[in-house]
Amino acid sequence: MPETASFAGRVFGPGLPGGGAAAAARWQDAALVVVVADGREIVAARVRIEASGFNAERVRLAWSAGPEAAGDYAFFVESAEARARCVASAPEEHAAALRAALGAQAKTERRFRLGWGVIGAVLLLPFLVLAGFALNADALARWVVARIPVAQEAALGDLTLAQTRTQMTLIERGPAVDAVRSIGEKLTVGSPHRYRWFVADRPDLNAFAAPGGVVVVFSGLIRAAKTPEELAGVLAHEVAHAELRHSLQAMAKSLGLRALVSLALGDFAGDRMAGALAQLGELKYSRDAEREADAEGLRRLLAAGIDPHGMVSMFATLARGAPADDGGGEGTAEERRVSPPTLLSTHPPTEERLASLRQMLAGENRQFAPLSIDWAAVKASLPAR
Amino acid sequence: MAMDVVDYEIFGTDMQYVEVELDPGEAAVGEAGVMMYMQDGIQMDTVFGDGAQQSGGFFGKLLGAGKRLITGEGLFTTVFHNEGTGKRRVAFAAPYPGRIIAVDLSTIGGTLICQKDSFLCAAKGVSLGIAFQKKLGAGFFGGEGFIMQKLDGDGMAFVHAGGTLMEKTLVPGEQLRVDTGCVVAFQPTVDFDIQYVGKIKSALFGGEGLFFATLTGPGKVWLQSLPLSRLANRIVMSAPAAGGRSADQGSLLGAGVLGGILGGGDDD
Repeated sequence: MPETASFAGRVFGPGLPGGGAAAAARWQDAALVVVVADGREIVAARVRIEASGFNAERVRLAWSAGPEAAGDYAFFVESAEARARCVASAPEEHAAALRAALGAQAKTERRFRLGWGVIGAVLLLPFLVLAGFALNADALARWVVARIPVAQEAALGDLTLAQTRTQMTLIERGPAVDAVRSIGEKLTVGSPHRYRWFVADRPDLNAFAAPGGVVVVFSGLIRAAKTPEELAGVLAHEVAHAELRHSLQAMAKSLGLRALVSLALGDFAGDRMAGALAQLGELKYSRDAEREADAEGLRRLLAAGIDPHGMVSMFATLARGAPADDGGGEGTAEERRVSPPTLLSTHPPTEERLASLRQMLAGENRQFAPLSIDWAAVKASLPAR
Repeated sequence: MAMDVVDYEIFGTDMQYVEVELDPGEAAVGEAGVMMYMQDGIQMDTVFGDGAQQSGGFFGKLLGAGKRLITGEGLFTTVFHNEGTGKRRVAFAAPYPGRIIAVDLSTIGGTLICQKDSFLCAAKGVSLGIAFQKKLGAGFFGGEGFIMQKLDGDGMAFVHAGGTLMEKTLVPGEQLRVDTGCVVAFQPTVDFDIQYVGKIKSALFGGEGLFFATLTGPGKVWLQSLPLSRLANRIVMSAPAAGGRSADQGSLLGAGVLGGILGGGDDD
């Protein structure tokens, strides 16, 4: 047998050091010949082959010395290279046992990986759920919101209204409110919600629609509108928000995100992160929602027979002149938390939205009858600045 | 990899330290914070990683240091060079009561698997690695966890553990059943696994837990009589600050002196 077929390892047995002795072994027909480093030669006629040692990562060739020399011998094939040589030169009758030993090693390894894979998956599960939720948040929020009855929504609107009353003076009657109502009712024909219209005595260029049909227009906006059609444009946009239940969807989404983030990160670390993440989610949501509300608002304007060019010109005014003059929605975090959903001022119409509005109106050259509202009287009825 | 041959002497009985003699130019690596004293002429150098890979580059070092972090040791090891002209000595002390064992890695085939955290010092050139326990049962119930330490090289390595350390040599096929947590180190030819204690009564009331660790020969194994966690447990249990009793058990029979006398009488 050529010298290259010998493989290095360590032999243990009677008369050898307890810690084993370095040795080289080779196959000779069906027998194993082990040459110990000190020159001794041990011949094993019948070897048992197993995977053994720490992690079963070594191949053990064991044999009995026979009745005259008590005790068993074991030869461990050490390196991967030696193992390959051992397998390659093994006689036919041992090939199956060697394969089984290698299979046992692979099994230990596989189980180890699988075990840690399962543990890793369990630890990662909240994050995976979170990611799944974040990716499908819009659809999920829609699904949830579609199941909230109109009565519930109205109750939520009452709450918002009560909160709003503590923060600003609402004007409930007078020419301004009448004007808002008359335009609004044209825009909300056939709606399941019972709309309530208010004018708030605030200088901001702002308006908002709370769930359940509470619409508040800031007096600053009425002052800034040159015609009733311009006011109608903003109202159409806000009514579209309410009809499409955007604020409810944003609430559902942020609540769900908060719950999931604290599930994934724990209560302490989670709180701040959850707030930040949820706010980020809302922001992105609102951008899509704004675009949707623009299209829906436009549709409602056309259906009500109100000149939609007012919407474009009002939005142009807002885009140009929606400066954070007195911090309508840009106040401190605390202020923002308690203030009502000022969607219009946190997301002023951008050039991009204006462009898409103009595009939608491009083919529209119908003649619209002007709204029969004495606009100068409406403006004059507003409380003096 | 050139190993430095070191002479050593272990002092003390149950709270030991090992004094290593370095010839000029020789070096030893110690776990950070275990050096007790060193003579003139010995230069101390803190290295990132285990000091074994002299030319492994930055990433080699980073990897070595990362492995050390996983096994619960510091990021740095300290290398002690003898820069003098004669033999110089440096001593390393075990951090808790127990014994230090000296293992000549060349006599056991160059590799020793040991409990994490048990490494004390070694000749320079011995590399410290991690060995994952890949048998899930042994990892969960074997008392040593999934991460063990692997010492590679052919010089002297010093390992310490709690209580009395016993070295046993197992012949091929010989099996030793050990309480979990008592295994300190073994040769990689030893099969480390677990075995269910066998009877539900023993499992619940025998106090040995559900599983034994089993060590199957051939090869050398080192066992400790008192794992640090067990010692710490007992100390905390009897610490007054933690709600333990400061008096011995005799005080159950009566307070103060009487209890002490009765308690003392019970002892013999």
